[in-house]
Order: sequence, then structure tokens, then C-alpha cells
Amino acid sequence: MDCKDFDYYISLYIDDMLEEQDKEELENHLKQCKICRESFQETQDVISMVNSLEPEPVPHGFKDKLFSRMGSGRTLLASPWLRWAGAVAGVLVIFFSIKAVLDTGITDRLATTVTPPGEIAEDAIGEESGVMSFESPAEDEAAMEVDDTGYADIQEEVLRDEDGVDIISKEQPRAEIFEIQSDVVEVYVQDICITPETLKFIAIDNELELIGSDENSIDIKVSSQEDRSIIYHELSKLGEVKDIGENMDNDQVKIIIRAGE
Amino acid sequence: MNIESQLIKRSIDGDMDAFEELVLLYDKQIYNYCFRMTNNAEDAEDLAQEVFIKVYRSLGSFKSESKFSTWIYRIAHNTCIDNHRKKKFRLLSLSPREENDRQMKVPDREPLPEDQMVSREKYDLIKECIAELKPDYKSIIILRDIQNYTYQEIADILNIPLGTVKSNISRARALLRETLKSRLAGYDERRGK
Repeated sequence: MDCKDFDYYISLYIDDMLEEQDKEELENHLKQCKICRESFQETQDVISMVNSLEPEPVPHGFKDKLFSRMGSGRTLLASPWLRWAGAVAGVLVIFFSIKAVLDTGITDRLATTVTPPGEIAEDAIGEESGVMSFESPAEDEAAMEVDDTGYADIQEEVLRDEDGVDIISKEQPRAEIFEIQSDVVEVYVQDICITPETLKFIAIDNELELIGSDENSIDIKVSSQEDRSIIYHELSKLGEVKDIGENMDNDQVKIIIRAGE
Repeated sequence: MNIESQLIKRSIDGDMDAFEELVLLYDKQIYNYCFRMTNNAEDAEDLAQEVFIKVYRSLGSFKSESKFSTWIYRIAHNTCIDNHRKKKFRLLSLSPREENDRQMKVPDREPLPEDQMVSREKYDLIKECIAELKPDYKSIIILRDIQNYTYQEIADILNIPLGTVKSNISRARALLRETLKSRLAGYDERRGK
């Protein structure tokens, strides 16, 4: 073991997270190595500086602004049945809104919304079903649901058919996927330094089992949804991730590196 | 049932006063987490509010066997990461500082310059150094060294294996130490030492 390895242990040693054997080894090394002793002291200093940072005061009026953003008198709905009822109601409203637009022959190319402004929740949370959200309390909770990861995104777009007629309007919740679904994914990277070796390090770092590799890909074993989520999370840091496989039940994932545009 | 669990239950039943109390229990921690992640008061306020709105809307799906603090921090973390990705996407390219953070620098082994700075300036420097870390390292430093969460709690919040928490804490601290050291050296040079 060299000083670089001991540097890694220093932090764990300070937090008392080292195995007894590693702890003894580090203590012995620290007795002999001045450089590592300095690193140890400096790391302790940095931790103590960070630890003594004063908390920032919460801005004045934070709570009032929050409740004003949320609107008043909302009711939380925990019942799955009510969620479904609300979601169905939301779909019906969209359907009839589109039908009304088509029936009345409105083809204003600049129109950006089918439903009246304000009905679509400003900060709607995407669901996989793509159901839109509305301000009415029952439908609001029915259609807006954050999964326990808290991930959410909103995509602003105007969809038109070939004749330029608006089909559906803006702020449509985008169903984001935050885990690898199939057994083959491509990651489009800008950085030419990203190689299968990079992916191997990421896999090792995340305690994922490496099965094989070639000049532009690696194969990883996935044993849980969590593994799939970690792979997605890590790959999305490198570039655009495309899930292209067809087999959803395979316990292996092939990650192919592609050059991004 | 403890007070927090009662507040959660009452909030799910639509009691806004209970939700308000729940907000007051966590607003300082969540705001500060967002502040350290963004290093910007306005963004932090906006993101912290977004976190509470998400919490409010998804309380019904909160599983009581989980720890509420872990759950709310996970929402806060993901909200901040989402925000970072959106911003990064908008900028289309990384700033040189962030780019530098991507590479773990080899420690230069120079001792910290003799510290003559007043503590205020020193703390401003450490804040800057934290702000320059990449989000994964920043969140781990905030959770471990500012908010004092255990390794296991951090693994639960960030939804990553314990081994990754260990290696990320070590790397983040080493990077912070080396960044601070070089900034202190630069500071001393400017002062003509």
C-alpha cells in the first residue's frame, strides 16, 4: 500500500469507519510518514472548518411564499381509487377539450393551449402515464404525483399534426425514465476520453459486477432495480442515454459507448 | 406515534396547519441543503419551496416504515440535481471549474500555508471551495460534514451503495483539502507573502 491508498483511508479513519486491521495499518504508517501525518491533520482541519460553517437564515416570508405558491384549501388525497378517478377525469377533460377545438374548427396557428390558462398546474409532475394535471383539488392530486425519488420535469411544447393543427398544448408532463429498462443501452459521449475502462471504474465504484468488455462496450450484471437506477444515474452524467434493447428480463446490461454529436 | 408522524398523518388528512408545522421542522435544513448545493440564495429559496410542494403532493405515498428525514432529503437532493442538469443543459457546456472537478487531482503534498487570514475570509474561501465541487461530492460533504448524517443515512438519502458513500466522502474531502490549500496559497501570493 502506498501513500495514495492511505490518503483514502484517512477520511474513513477520522469517521471511525475503518476495519480494525486497516486502522492498525494506517496508524503504523502515520507514525512513520510525515507527509501522511500532514494530510491527516489537514483533512481534520478541513472537516472542522466545514462543520463550523454557520447555517444560512431561511429567507423572510419563505413559508408565506410557499403557501401562496401551493394555493390554499388543497386536500391531499391518499386513496388510490380517488387518484384513478381523478386521472380518468383529467383524460376525459383533455379528450373533450381537443374534440371541442376540432369541432369548432379553430386552427389558429399561434394558439398554444387547448385547455384554459391556469387549469394546467404550473409545476405539474410527470407520470409515466403522461396524464396531465389540473388545479382542481381532486384532480390535482390525482394527476400530480411525485415518486419517492422526487424527480420531475416539465416539457413545454406544441404538438401539431401534418396540417399544422394544434393537437395538444404546452407544459405536458414528460415521462422521464430514471433507470435502465432493457438489456442494451447506448451512451452518447462528447468526451473522447470516455472508454470502456471509464465504465469499468464506474462499475467497480458502484459495486456492480463486471461480466465482460470489448473495444467500445462493457457488460454488467444487474440484480435489482436499484442497480438499473445507478447505471442510468452514472451514465447520464457522461452523456445522452438511449435504452435500445428489447429484452426486459435479462440480468445483464450491455453499455455501448457512442460518439455524441 | 411521535409528533412528526402525527403531523404527517394529519397533513395527509388535509390539515394545512399540520403541514405548516412540518415545514417549520425542516425548512432550515432543506433551505440550507439547497443553498449549499446552489450557492445562491434565490435559487435555494425556489428549490426549497419546490421540495416542500413535492413533499405535500406525495405525502400520501410516503411509506411510514421509512425515515421521513431521509425521504425529504432524497427529494431535496433529486430536486437540486434536476436543477443542475437543466442548468447544465441550458449552458450546453461545463464551466472550466466544473470540468476541473471531474478529475481527481493528485495531492501536491505541499503543507497548508501558514494561516494568517481572519476566520471570516477563511470561511468564505471554504464556502467557495464547496460550491466548486461537482454535485455528487458537494451533496456528500453537506450531508456528512455540515449536517452530520451517518454513512448509512447518506446511502439511503442518495440511494447509492455504502461503498460508494465511503469512496465519495474520501475523494470529496481530499479534493476539498487540496482545492483549499491551493486557494490559500494563491491568497497569500496576492498579499505578497
